[in-house]
Amino acid sequence: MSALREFQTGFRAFLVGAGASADASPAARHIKAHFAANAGIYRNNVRHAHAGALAAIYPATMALVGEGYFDALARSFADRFPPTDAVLANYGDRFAGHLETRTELAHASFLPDVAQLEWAVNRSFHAHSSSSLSPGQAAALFAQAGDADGLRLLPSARLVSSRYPVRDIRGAALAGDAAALERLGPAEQHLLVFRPERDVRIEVLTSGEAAFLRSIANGAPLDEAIAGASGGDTTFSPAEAIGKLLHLGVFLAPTQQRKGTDQ
Amino acid sequence: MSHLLPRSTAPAKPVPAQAGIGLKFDHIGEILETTPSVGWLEVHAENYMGDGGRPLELLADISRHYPVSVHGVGLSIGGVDDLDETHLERFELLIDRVRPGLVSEHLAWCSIGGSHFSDLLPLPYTQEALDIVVRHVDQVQQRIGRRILIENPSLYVAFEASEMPETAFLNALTDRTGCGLVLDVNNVHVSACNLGYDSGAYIEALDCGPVGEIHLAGHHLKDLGDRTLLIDDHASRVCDAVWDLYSTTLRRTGPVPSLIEWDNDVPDLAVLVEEVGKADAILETFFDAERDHVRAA
Repeated sequence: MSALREFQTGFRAFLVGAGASADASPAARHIKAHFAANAGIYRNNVRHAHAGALAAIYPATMALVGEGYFDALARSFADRFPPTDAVLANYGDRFAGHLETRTELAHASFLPDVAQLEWAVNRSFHAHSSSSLSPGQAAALFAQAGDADGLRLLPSARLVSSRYPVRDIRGAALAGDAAALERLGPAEQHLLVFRPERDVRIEVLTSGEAAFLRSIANGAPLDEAIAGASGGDTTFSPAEAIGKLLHLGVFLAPTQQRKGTDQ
Repeated sequence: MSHLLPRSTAPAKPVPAQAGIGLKFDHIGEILETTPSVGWLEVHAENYMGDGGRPLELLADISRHYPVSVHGVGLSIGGVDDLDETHLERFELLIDRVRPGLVSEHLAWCSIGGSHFSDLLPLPYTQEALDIVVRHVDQVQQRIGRRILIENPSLYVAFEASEMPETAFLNALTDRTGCGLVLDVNNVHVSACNLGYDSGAYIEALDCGPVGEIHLAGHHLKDLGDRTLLIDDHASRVCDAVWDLYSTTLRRTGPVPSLIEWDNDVPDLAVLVEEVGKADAILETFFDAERDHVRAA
C-alpha cells in the first residue's frame, strides 16, 4: 500500500471512529506529534458538515426534536450511513427510516412521516424544471385515441401519505407555532409535493386522487389508474380529479414527454 | 446525468480584478432585486449539481447580472483514489452550462473508498502526492477544456512524511499542469499561525504569476490553554492581520479578483458589501500604482 493511501485510509478510520483520539489512530504516525491533537478539528468539521446538511433538508424535524437532539440523531445517522456523494443535497434519503429505528422516538410516530415529507420537498426543489400540461393540451391529448395513456407527472412531483396531518405539523414546526402543534390530532393526509413554477408546493389530495396519481406515476394506463382510485375511494370522480390536477399543473407538457424525463 | 439541461451559448463574463462575494441562497433574492455593487459572485459547484430545478434557475438569473466563478469542493483532487467519474461528469456539465469566468478547486482530499467527508482534508507534501494531484488536475483541465485554479488549504496538522513546503508543492503543481492558483490569504495566515511559519515568507516563496484569484475570510481563535489555534470558519469579518497580508500579496500579484467568503453565521448582505468595499479600496491602490508605473515608463 502506498504511503498516501495508508495515511488516507487511516485518517478515514479516525474521522468516522467513535471515541478514538488521533494519537491512537493508524494515521497518527504520519502526523507530526506536536500537531496530532489538532486532528480532532477535522473530525468536528466532518460531523458539523453532515449535521448541517441534514439540518438544511430536515428543518421541521429539527424544530420538532430540538437542535441538540437533532445533532445527536445526525451523528448516529452518519455513523450508519456516511455520505457516498459529494453533493450533500443528495444525502439523507434514509433519514426517515433511521428515525423509525430510534426507540426513544416511539412516542412521536409522526416524525418519520414529517421527515419523509421534507425529503420529498428537497427532491422536488432539485428536480428538473418542466412545463405543465395545459388544459388545451390535455383536451388534445384526450381527443387522440390512445394518447390519454401518455399522461406523465412533472419530474418534481412526489406523493406522500401519512396517518398524520404532516403538512400541518411541518408548517407549525417551521413557524415555531407550539399552540398549533398542540391542536393537531391524528388525521390521515395524502400530499402532492411538486414545483409547477418557481416554488415547491404541497397540496392535500383525497385518497382517490393520491391513488390515481400514484398509478400514473407508475406508468399505469388511464383506465387502470381510474379503476384503482375508484376501488379504494368511492367518492372518487375521475372528471373532477383530473380537472383539479390539471388546474394544479401536475402533469407534464407533451413536448417534454417526447424528449424523455426522469420519471 | 440528464441531457435535458439547457446549455448556455452565451460567452462567459470574465471575472474582473475587483472584489466579489460568495453567493448564499439566502441573499439571492436581494441581490437580484438590488444588484449591489460587487464585482462578481462565486458559487460552490456542489450546490448546483442537482438534477436541475430552482438552484440552476437562480444561478442563471444571477449570471445575467454578474460574472460568476465556480468553486468546487468535492472533486477530491488530493485523494489517492481515482476521481469519481460521476462527479467529474456533473462538474463538466455545470461548467458547460454556466460558462463561468473562473473555475477552481482545492489542494485537499475529501473522499476515499466511496465515503465522502464534506471537509477539505490535508495531505502530506510528498512526491507521490504531487504526482497524484498533477494527474488529477490534468484530468479535470482536459475534461472541461480549460484551466482551473487550485486553492491552498488551511491547516491544523503537519506531516512527518512531507518532503517539501507547501509553496514548493504548489510551484511544482502550477509548473507541471499550467493550472493557476486561488491564493487564500486567510488560509495562509491560519496555517502559518497554527504550524509556526512566517506568512510573509510563504507569499515570498510562492510563484505568484499563476495566482488568478485571492480569497479573504474570517477565522476565530480557539484558546487551548497553552496555545491558541486559529479555526478557519468563514464566520466573521476579515481581521487586520489578513488585510495586511492581502496588501503584501497584491504587491507581488498586482490586482486580481478577490473574494469575500462568509459561509457560516451568514450576515446581512450589506455586511458583505462593506467588506467588498474594503477590498476594492485596497485593490484600487494597486491599480493606481500600476498606472503610475506605466506613466513613469
